[in-house]
Amino acid sequence: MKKSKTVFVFSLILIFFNLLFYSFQIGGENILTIVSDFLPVICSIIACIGLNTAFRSFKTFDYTKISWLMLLLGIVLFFGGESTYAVLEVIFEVDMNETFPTLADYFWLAGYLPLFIGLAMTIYAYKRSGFPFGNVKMYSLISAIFVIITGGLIYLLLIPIIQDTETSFLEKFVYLFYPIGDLFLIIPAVFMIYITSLFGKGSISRPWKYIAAGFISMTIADILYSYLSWLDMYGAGNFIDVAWNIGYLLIGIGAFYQKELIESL
Amino acid sequence: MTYNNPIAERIYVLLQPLIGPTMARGSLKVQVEKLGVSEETLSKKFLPELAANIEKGLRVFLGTDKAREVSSNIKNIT
Repeated sequence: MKKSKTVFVFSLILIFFNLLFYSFQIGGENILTIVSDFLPVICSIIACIGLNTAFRSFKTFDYTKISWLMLLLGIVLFFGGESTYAVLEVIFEVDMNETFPTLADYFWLAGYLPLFIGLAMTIYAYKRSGFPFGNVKMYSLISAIFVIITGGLIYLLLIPIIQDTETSFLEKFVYLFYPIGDLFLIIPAVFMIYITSLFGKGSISRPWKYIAAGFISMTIADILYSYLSWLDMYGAGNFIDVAWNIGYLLIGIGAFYQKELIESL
Repeated sequence: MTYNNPIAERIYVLLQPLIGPTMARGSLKVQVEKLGVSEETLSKKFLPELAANIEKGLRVFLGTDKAREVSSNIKNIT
C-alpha cells in the first residue's frame, strides 16, 4: 500500500477515535484532557513527517523547495505549540483556562509567518507560470465573500475584544492575532482550492487540494477557538479540536501525495 | 483524438495525466498562441520554446528537476 493511502486510513481511524472520545467522554475528564491535548500532537507530527518527506523529494533548492520548506517550518512551529500546550496542561498541570497566553501561543504565533510565506510564494509562482488563472468573475466572487467574512469577523470578534476592558493588552494582542493571521492563511488557501479545481483530476493538483483544505479546516477552527476562548467557553473535549486534527492530517496526506507525485515521474 | 496535429496530440497526451484534460488543452492553447501559431499548425521548430514555457509552469508544482524532465519529453517528440 502507498504511504499516502496508509496515512489516509490511519487518519480516518484517528478521527473516528477522536469523535468517539469526544462524544462519549470515555474514561472521564482526565482521560479526555489527555486525548484532547495529545491527539493534535500526533496529528501535527504526521503533518511534519509528510511535509519533510515532500520537501526532501525536491532535489534542487529552488523556489518550489523553499515554499515547501516554509510550510514545513510553519507546521513544525505549530507542532511546538501543540506539544508545549499538552506538556503544560497534562504534565505541569497548568490551568490553561486561566493562563493566557502561554508559551504554546508563541509557537503558534511564530508559525503563521512561514505558512503565509509558503502559500503566498506558491500562488505568486503560479501566477507567473503562464498556466491559465481561471475566471476573473470567480475571483471577484471569492473576494466579495472574503469582504463579508472579514466584516463579520471584525464586527463580531475583533471590535468586542478591543473594547473589552477586562482583557490585558498582551491577551488582546494574541486573541486578535489568531483571527487576523487566519485571514492571511485562508485567502491563499481558498485561491489554491480554486486554482487546483481548474486542473480537474490532474495528478499535479492532488497534493494541493488536500493541503489547501487542511489550512481551511485549521483556520476555521482557529477563528472559533479565538471566539470561544475569549468568552471562556473553550475547554478540553471541544469539537473544534477535530477540525484542527483534520487540518493537520489533510496537510500530511497532501504532502505524502506530493512525494509520490515526484517519484512517479 | 483531441487534435488532428500529431505533435499537439502527443503533447496533450503527455500533459493530460499531470494537469488534467481541461488544463492541458487550456495551457497548450495559451502557449501556442504566445508563439503565434495554433494547436493545429504547431510544428517541431516551436517545441524547444514551447517546452521551456510549459516547464516554467510545471516548476511550481514539481520543482526544477521533474519539470525539466517533462519539458525534455516534449522537446524530444518526434
